[in-house]
Amino acid sequence: MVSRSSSAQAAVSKPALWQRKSVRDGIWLAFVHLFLIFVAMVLLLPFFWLVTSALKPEHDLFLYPPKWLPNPLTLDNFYKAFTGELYEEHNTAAVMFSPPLYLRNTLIIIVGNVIFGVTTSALVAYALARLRFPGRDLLFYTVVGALFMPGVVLIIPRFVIFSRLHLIKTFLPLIIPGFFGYANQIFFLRQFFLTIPRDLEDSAYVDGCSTFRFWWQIMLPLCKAAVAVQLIITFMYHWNDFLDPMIYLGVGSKLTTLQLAIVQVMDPRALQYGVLMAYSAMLIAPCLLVFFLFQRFLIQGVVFTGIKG
Amino acid sequence: MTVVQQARKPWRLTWHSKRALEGYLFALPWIVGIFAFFLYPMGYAVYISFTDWRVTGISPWVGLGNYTRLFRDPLFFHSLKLTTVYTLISVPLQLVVGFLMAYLLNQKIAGLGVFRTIYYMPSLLSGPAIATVWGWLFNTEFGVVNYILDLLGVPNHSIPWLTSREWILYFYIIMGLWTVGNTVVLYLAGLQGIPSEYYEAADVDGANRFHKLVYVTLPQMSPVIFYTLLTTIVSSFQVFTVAFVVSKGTGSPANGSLFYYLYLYRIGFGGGYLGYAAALAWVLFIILVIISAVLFRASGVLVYYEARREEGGA
Repeated sequence: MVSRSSSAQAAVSKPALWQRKSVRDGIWLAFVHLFLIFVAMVLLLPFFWLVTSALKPEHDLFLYPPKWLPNPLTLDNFYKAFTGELYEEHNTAAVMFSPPLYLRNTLIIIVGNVIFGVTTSALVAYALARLRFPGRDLLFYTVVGALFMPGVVLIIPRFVIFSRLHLIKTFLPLIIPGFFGYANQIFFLRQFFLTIPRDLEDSAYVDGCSTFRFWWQIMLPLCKAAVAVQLIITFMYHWNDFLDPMIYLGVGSKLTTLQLAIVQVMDPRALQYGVLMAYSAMLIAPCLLVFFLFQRFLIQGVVFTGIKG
Repeated sequence: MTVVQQARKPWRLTWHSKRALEGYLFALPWIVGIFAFFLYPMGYAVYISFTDWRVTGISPWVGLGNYTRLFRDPLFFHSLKLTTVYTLISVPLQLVVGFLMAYLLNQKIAGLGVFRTIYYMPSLLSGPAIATVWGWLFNTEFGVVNYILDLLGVPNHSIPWLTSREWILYFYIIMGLWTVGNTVVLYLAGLQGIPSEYYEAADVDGANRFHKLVYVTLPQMSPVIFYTLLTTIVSSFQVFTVAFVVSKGTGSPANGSLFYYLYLYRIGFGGGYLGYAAALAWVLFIILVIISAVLFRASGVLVYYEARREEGGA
């Protein structure tokens, strides 16, 4: 209505070009686009610098002004980072550094959490979303409470408990928490299960379908996207996790994870910035790949938790 | 189900109690987890904080000793102050910048999906590996950030970002801002969810851009803003990994990176004083609970919740 009346006014008084609403809006939008592109470039700069630094020979890193593009280009850093040849110049001690082993360790933790964590969370989420039992609301509040609870108060006692159980320097302290479900996953899956129409269950029950079978054969396949988001989040979280592996597995041990081994690459005795960048790039690459493949789902997932929460 | 109905149809009762039993069975891991993994450790942490618990295993009872020791510990005050200052600057900055970016994105933007992807990417990928790159970007002599400042003609562009106590905090604030995409994505979804009729009604009332922002957009967005405020505060008080990687675990320069969590780690796992670390953890926990409680209280007044719809059955 307003736009119609303003265009009617425009027809009467014919303002100068720059005063017209459409032109002003166009200029404004052009500025917004330029600004957004600028911000995007700033945000991408660290990734750009990471990759180009990793592809430069070591001595080209210490130039001022720095080179924007690697010339000459070398894959030496990636080779060293992957094979663990870190100490060639300062070979003072035989130090173990084996990325393939660390990859295996990381994958053990991720797979353990996918199998136990996501499955358990989906079970609990289903109970909270669909099954009726006394105390269910209270149970849901504990999930919300755990969601907002600062984890800081748990690290010391959990460490003490696990060390009393003689589980330090094993993968179990990083997998056992999954047995009980993760609050964020339970919350997310519950919200998602609630959106599935209830008629489906009623008819399945009439046909004699058991609750467990319904959960496994109907509910989970229907919520494939939500479960996939949880799998990805599990992968990303444990791939990037740092504190727990450091506490329970230790730097420089045979159980170290890929991210934790960064500490070894940063060891002043071995530090070569090019190798550090190559190693970091290799750690980010799988996350980047997963992100680009599934970013639609992931962003929907974030929105889903935040808006409904 | 009323009692009368149940009495009339006894088979329904059994059907329901079977469902209820299954409910407990499905939720059993979490029920056990609450006790084994939350309540028990929390109680245990109280006990540990009253002892001089060491990694080596000796644990004599010291009563409130660990808590009185806090008051004589300058590093406790230092790390708490550093973390608080960081939170006070970083959180409002992230919320405001996040809102502005979302506001700009919520127009007729070509390639919206691409922008959203690029903005969100840093928050998802931030981890130890990214922290190493940031250390290199902000290198005093060879870092690209100082080089860009040089290109822009900034005098004294050799800023010792990582090696001076004055600059290190800005480094962390900038890095925190880099991961603003999480907030942007949430705000953008919130903005897109505001019914356009509200804006049309405001137009009819002759509202300008500013009026619409204050009387329509902000109240509609307040639940999302509240959610991000709470989660950002809690996570910024618990900054750890970035500070550990950038300062190689030392909290350098001159304890300029010694955030609370890092100090706690150093006491508990570096020094092996688990009892004192548990006391530190409890203090931070209580601070965060108080902040959350105050925020929730304030949210009753400031946050506008639409009348609850079908969620009542949950």
